[in-house]
Amino acid sequence: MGDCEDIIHGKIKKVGNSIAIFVSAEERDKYQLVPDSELVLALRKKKVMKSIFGAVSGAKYSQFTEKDRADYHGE
Amino acid sequence: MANEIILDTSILVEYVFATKTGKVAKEIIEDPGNIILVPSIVLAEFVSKLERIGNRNTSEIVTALGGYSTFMPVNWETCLRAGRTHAELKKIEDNISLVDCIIMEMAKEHKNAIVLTTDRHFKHYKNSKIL
Repeated sequence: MGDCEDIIHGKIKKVGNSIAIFVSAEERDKYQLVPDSELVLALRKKKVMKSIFGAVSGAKYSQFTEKDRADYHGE
Repeated sequence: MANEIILDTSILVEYVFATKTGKVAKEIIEDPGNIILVPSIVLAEFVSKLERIGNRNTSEIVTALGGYSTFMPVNWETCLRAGRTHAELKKIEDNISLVDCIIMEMAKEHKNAIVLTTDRHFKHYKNSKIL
């Protein structure tokens, strides 16, 4: 960690399972962070891999009607 | 450098149902070298679809997904651009959704992150990977 000038000032919020820092446009420019977005940095926790692959319970893919399938292509 | 991958609702459905397409998605989503991003609006769509077909463990699924992905909030600047994109694309693609346009704009903001999807509408975004 460098001196105080290296500290990015911003509001820290929990976003999902991550911690995000929301900073001003000035800070964003100063540190050349992700452009055009308030969310500039997400400090991700170490990944906790509890896969949701095939994790549905009590529902079947076939329950999706044609309309459902169309929906997720144009809802 | 890690790839940033944004998940669309369609791919989350395939993944959680472990379909053939979902298996391909699994290799990408669970690759520890990839950073997985889920727009909050996608999460809402995903939950709605699971709930509508009577899925019983939606909260557990969302919590587990949050363990290896980052849920991204949508800000007003993104919405402004997405609205404009939607209006433009509507001229050539009648059933393009506003949610898709929001995802495309979020991806652009994330240095043109890859959007993983099964949705052909994402052909309008250069970095989409349509399975």
